[in-house]
Amino acid sequence: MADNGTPTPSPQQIFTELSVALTGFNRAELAGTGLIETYYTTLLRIIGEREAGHLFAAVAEALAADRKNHDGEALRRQVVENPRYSPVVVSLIKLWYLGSWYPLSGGYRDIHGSTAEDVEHVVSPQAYREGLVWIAAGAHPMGAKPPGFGSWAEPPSLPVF
Amino acid sequence: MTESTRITSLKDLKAALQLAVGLELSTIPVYLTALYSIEAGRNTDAAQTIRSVVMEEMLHMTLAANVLNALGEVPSTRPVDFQDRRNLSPIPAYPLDSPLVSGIGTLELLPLTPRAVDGFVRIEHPLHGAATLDAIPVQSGGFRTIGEFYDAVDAALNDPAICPDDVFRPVRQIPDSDYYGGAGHVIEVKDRATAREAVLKIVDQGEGLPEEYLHRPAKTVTDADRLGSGWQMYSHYARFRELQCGRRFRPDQRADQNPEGAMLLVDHTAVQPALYTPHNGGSDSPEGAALDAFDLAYSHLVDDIYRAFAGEPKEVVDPLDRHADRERPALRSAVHIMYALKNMAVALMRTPNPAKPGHTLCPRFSYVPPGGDRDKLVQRLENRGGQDR
Amino acid sequence: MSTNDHDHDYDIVIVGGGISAATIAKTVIEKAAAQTPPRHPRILVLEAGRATAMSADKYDTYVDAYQEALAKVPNSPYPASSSAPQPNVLDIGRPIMGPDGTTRVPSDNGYFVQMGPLPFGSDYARSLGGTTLHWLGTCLRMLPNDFRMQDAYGHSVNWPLRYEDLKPYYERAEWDIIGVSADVEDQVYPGIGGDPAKYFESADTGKFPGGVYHFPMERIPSSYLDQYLAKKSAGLVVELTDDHGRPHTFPVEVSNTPVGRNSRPAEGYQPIGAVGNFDQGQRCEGNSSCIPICPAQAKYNALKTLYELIVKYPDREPADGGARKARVAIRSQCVVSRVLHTQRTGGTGTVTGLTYRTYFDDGSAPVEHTVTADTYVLAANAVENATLLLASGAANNSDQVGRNLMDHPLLITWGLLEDGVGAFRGPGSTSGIPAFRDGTFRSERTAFRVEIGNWGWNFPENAPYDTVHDLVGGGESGQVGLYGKELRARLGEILPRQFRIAWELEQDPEPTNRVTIDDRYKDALGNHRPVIHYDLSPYVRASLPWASEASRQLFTQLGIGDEVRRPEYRPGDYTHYDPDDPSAVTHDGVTYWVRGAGHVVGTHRMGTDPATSVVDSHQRSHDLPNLYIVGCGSMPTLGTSNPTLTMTALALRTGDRIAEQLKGKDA
Repeated sequence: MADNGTPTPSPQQIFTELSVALTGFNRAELAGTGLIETYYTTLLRIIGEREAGHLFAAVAEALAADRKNHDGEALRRQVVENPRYSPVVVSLIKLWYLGSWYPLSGGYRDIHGSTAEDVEHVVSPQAYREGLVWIAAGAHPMGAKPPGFGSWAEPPSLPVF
Repeated sequence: MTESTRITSLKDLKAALQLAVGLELSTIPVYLTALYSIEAGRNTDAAQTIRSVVMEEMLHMTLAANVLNALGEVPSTRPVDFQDRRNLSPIPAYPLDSPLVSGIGTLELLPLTPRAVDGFVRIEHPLHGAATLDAIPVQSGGFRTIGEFYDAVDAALNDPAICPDDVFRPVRQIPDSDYYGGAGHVIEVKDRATAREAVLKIVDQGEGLPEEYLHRPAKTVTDADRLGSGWQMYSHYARFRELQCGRRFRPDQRADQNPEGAMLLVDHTAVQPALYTPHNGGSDSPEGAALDAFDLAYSHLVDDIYRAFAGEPKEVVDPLDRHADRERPALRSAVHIMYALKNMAVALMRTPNPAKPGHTLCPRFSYVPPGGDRDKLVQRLENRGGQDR
Repeated sequence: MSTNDHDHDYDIVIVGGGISAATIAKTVIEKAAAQTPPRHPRILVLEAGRATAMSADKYDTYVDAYQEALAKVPNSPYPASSSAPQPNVLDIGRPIMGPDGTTRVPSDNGYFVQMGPLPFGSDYARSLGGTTLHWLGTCLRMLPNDFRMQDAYGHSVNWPLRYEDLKPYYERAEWDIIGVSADVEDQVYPGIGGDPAKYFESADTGKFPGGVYHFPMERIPSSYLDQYLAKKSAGLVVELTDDHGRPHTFPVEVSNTPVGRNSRPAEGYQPIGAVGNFDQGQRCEGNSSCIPICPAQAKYNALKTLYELIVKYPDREPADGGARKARVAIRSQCVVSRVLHTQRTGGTGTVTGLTYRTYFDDGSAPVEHTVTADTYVLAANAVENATLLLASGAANNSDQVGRNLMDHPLLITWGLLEDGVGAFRGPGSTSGIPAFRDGTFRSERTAFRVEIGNWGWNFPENAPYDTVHDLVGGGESGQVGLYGKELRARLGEILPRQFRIAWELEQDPEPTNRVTIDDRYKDALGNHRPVIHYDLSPYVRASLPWASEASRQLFTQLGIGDEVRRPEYRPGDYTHYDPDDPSAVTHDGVTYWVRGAGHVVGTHRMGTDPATSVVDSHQRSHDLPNLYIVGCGSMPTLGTSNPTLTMTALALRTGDRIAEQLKGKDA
């Protein structure tokens, strides 16, 4: 049980909240990609469940502190800037933005070992299409989600967030 | 046999056509909800079938608008009075009981399920699934079937006492070159003959199909192939019967038979479990905002379509050049929103519904008219900026 | 099996299933049927690669393959077989040259064997539909002077045709085969006398009253970037100085580019949508992936024409009572290995058949066949035509087969604009700057076309990927750079401002730029791989500093003259060329990157003299009169126009000629 009696969130919930904090996209935007479950699994398979357990515990604690303080400082200090987790954070952000997994560094692997799946790969055609970078750019994935005839002639706009 | 409602004045004919534009519009969200609920790349044959019908409904909506414009009336989203009935809104709100046609029953927004397809077949069946016309209850100033409605429209168009020759003017016509993506051609209405031709096209392809068509070959071609390479379209009813039965018609079958040709594979597990829930006031969650954003986009789409029907441009301001020409063809802008809506709908239907475990969100296709409610909706969405972490 | 009059298997056999093959087959069939007496030829098309999708759901799997590909290169959606391998731009490597200028170690890690000194930087697709599967769709006609370079500028060679000769075929290519979207008034080019209406004026006054030409579809709207550049560069005149100190001035005007991409049709024209799903692709939807694949098939590809042929002219006897019709058979996975002929060195002869091998992907051995016809057409791409002819010892009295290989070597310049213009939206390019396409300077340096790119830094900096890497961090430190809303906002500031320009240089024909064969280099079926010698002439190189300088003047006008490099992001000129890149070229001590444009041209040039050319103006072999060698390979020079439209015009002219020859024979 976390403080003030709320039940401990599930690992998937923690993963979702972490993803929201790292990407700048809200829960509905991330769910709309249809990839939360896929990326949760991808992460677990690549860093291993044990390390994921450490990460999620650290994230849950940091997010609880940030909720109390109404800022993101705990997450920044305890997860993002924590050398133990930062290589994973980098790959996770890129995963959400680009739909591809980018391998962890040699330094990370020296400590934690690596898995066979920790190689550069496009997770799936859907992952490519749902890359957040295209929304951030006010565009659409090249080769998918076309905006319609003549749309490119109009002034660009970025979604409010 | 009950006497069907007749249209006896030009004023009523115009009101009827305003409602006809709305009637054609009202089926589109029903079909789109099913279409967009299909997971990417799955059920491709079913998707192709539904998509082809949607595109023709858009054509029908355009045809109805062209007839209306030719009668000198600007298509509008505003409620109309028809016969003894007041304030009938052309713009659908779901679940929808048609203000005009009692036989089609309640139109619901459902993902692609057997129940949804049963509904499609009912919409497109000449008698909307009833055994006889008389079995359908009717209210005064209403119609039992879409066929009956268009028959009345056609009869009025054909009656010089209701609309004399000089009523018809080729104004504000959407040209054929602006319609694409589906079968058929836009008919530009300039006189009585072309007006009736336009109505016949609506009836022939789609809902409003005369009952005797059921005894004709199922694959009677409603729109011949423009490429000359074997591509063809048959009635919506026959296309949806195939979807319902999971079989194609053989070329020698009649539309009232059970299709017995090749299997049409439909996997109902490759469909998002979207669940329509009516709007219940402003929601502060990211999910509520996403539903709101969809409604706003949909409202803009409806506005742009009606703007195009009214022959008005869409204004677009270039933030880098305030003096740049702002006028855009409204239909082009509408098409851009259609593409965006698809992506929004697909995303909504992947998003878990926080209140209904096991279900995902369902777009509401709720039109919010310009004015106070629209302003509030815009405000609500703008205020959300910076909220989510 | 023989149904024609000469005891041959077919009237016509065409090698290759791309746009030239499709155009010739369609033209011959339609022309021959309209003649008196009508003729209904039987045609066989042999495609080396695989069949491609003929319905939208199958085509979508190619789109998926592209989306899932790690490197989204032009051939990424199209799988190739080792029995019919295709070049891939990822394989481009630099051969190692000896001090005497000969090749010490060729670069042969892909399909091409690159002998250098420069690698040939372009690819093509070996699949049914050919390279139109991944072309951009640009449909510029060549300029009048492009056909008479020797007369006008004392450089290169003249064509045996003038622009006026080809004009009616350009019209047919634009209307009947490709379907081109453009407005005549936008086409303001140098070298056309200042009046586009005159340049496009049609002799077909039946179709175009008063000769006032119009394209079958309206222009594709110019991108917001195009409009922005047009406003910002208004009044700019680029000044460049030639080798004699003479100034040349080039007024910069942004001009919407004609493209084979569906737009709003003119009265009476029906845009052709996706193969097997006609209602899709009726308009360009802005998928922003013309290369490698148009998901909607709003962009023309040769499958559209081939599909029409298969549906209209199936390869079977007409049903009882049915009218006689032409018949088209298309066979994929059939690689032609030899042109059989009676030609002796220095003499002429006839083609007597083609040997081809059908391969299987199921572990079975390939099966060899021979097929005969009255008329043979090689339409297998310029490089493939050349290797096949060389391997067959055919049609080469002139010793020009394989020589004069050309491309549009292109220089990319790129910058970050002061304003967001919405990069990564729309077709790859919607406009260009035609100012440098013709002028007196062509006597000493090559002309060039300026293509404005709508996809940000996708080409030069692998954006948006590398932009994300720059901002997010990782690498040695493993530290996180930006994340969360800050990251999202920063990407929104940077990506929409990215833009790039391609300066596409005309390449002049040089006999030493050539495709050859070497028995040491063969593919899995034992066919010769292309062995390529390639370099840029001083004439081409002389335009590198010009293009560079023109770019600097333009960027300065746009307010982004400052030199900046990633990972810093602020408005500026990011153009830079790393000397270690395989495409690096040094000229006057300055390094440039010169990439391929995918325009493979010039290996069997046309001309009037059999001693100096391979084919005549109808693309008929001088040496083997029943053999047509068609495609971009026939072009003596290529000007600054992307060659597909001209290739198609030539194919129409060839189709007319083949049909005429059928006329003389018994019905």
